[in-house]
Amino acid sequence: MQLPQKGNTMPETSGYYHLAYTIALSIYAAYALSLYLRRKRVQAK
Amino acid sequence: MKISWLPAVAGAAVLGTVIRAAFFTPLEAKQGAAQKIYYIHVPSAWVAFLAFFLVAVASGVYLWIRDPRLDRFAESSAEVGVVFTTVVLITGPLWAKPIWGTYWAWWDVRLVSTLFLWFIYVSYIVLRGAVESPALRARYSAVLGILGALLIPFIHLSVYLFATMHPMPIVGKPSAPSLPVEMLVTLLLSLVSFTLLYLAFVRSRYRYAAERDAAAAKREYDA
Repeated sequence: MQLPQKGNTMPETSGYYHLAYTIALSIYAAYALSLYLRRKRVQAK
Repeated sequence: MKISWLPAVAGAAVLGTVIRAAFFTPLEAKQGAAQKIYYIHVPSAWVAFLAFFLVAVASGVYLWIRDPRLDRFAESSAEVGVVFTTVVLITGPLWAKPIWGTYWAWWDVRLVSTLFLWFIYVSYIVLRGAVESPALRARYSAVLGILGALLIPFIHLSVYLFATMHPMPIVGKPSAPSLPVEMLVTLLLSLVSFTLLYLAFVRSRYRYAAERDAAAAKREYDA
């Protein structure tokens, strides 16, 4: 992988980057929440 | 409210990685912003492999000494590994589309064998839910947990053994990493932060399993 040189043009791919980060972080957050809720449910029993 | 230090540190480390990747790591010359998917795709894959490798180790030792704590750890690590593999299987195609021109290629051994790995450990979770006897459940799932992990070296070597669109490792290779130092630092930070996230998830999942098993034992005793 290379750093850009002066005057080079790069493809516009930020939409894929933002979507990938949003989905990945949402999955990790949802899993953390599911662990918290499952433990609460067991403790309540 | 008591805040446990490990999830807090792991969460802060992941947030720090995202901020560094977004604002303090340069764009790659040919791929533009899509290359930044690298900093969540690669560490998620590393953690998935680590998780399944540890499932195999814990399962092997379980079959030897039959300690239920090892079965509980294997169960926890397998579930967390599936979550990380899911992220790998989503972020990979989102990176592939702008660079390769397609989300997925069914002939690509690296991609398809990673999907198989995901199916094996989803089956592992389904199997655990289907067997009632704790001893049988632990034994069957230990065997599947060991067999599934045999795919990991195959997946790693697939880019050397077969024609594939997936690039070869640019850091984990015998020669020096072919990555500018700013990107290498972000990658190393992401590997550490995602490993911490794995530890936080597995610890929480293990505690849930221990509390669930204790509640089940109490119910059985009362009945």
